[in-house]
Amino acid sequence: MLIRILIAASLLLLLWVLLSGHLGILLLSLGIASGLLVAWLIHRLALQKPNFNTLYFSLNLPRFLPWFFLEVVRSNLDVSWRILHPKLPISPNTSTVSTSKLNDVATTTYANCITLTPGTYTLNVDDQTIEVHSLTQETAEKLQQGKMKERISVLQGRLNTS
Amino acid sequence: MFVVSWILLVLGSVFCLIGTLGLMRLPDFYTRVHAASIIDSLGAILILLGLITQSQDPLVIIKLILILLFMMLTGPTAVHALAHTAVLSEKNRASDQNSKHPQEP
Repeated sequence: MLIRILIAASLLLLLWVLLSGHLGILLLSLGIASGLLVAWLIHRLALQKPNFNTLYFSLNLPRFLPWFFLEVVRSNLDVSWRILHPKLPISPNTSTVSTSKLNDVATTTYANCITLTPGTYTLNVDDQTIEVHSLTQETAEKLQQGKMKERISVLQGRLNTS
Repeated sequence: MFVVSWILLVLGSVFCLIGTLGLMRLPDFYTRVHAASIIDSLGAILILLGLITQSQDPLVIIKLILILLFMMLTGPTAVHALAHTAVLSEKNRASDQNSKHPQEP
């Protein structure tokens, strides 16, 4: 476990040096200290379960992102239109979507993607469900259809094997 | 390139303006968060893309892309923390029978 912390800390230090561009002793030691601190915090969070394939997830991300950004733009335009509309055609409501078959990282990704698209955001995350607040009935129904969940479950690479 | 950059910057500003307008027009806390997330997503993305197309230094471009990535992670986290706290405090208030304060000052 100590090795994992040290690897993460040195990667963070590399990022630090890349971004600051200074190699003075003061800045370097501050970088080492903060790198170790952040690596320890990440370790405490224990986000990485041993059964999770990070590489597969990262390599598949480019297939997901274009679709997701299109979705972000589309929902932005929708919410903007509703705000500018004189009658404010909104119907706020809360609903739950299931996260069955998604592992921890995929659930986090799913919850974050829901929040990143305007019109929906995550209120609460349980073991099996995510509680979502939607600006309109339509966005809630669209989320219930589960297209986004499908694409994220492809990311984690479980549906292919099971 | 110059024209593209300015179109992106102006569009981003317009979406920030729409988000601010929504922040004032929408009725309560939960719906206002939706307006704020417009500023957070398309507003920030367009303005940062505009800045990326304006700079020539590759290091600056890398830094701007990193800012974009970090915002994509910190934004939802902050929104979730806010919304979750709102839900919890509302539950607490509902269970607290003695206090009969109005919902919002």
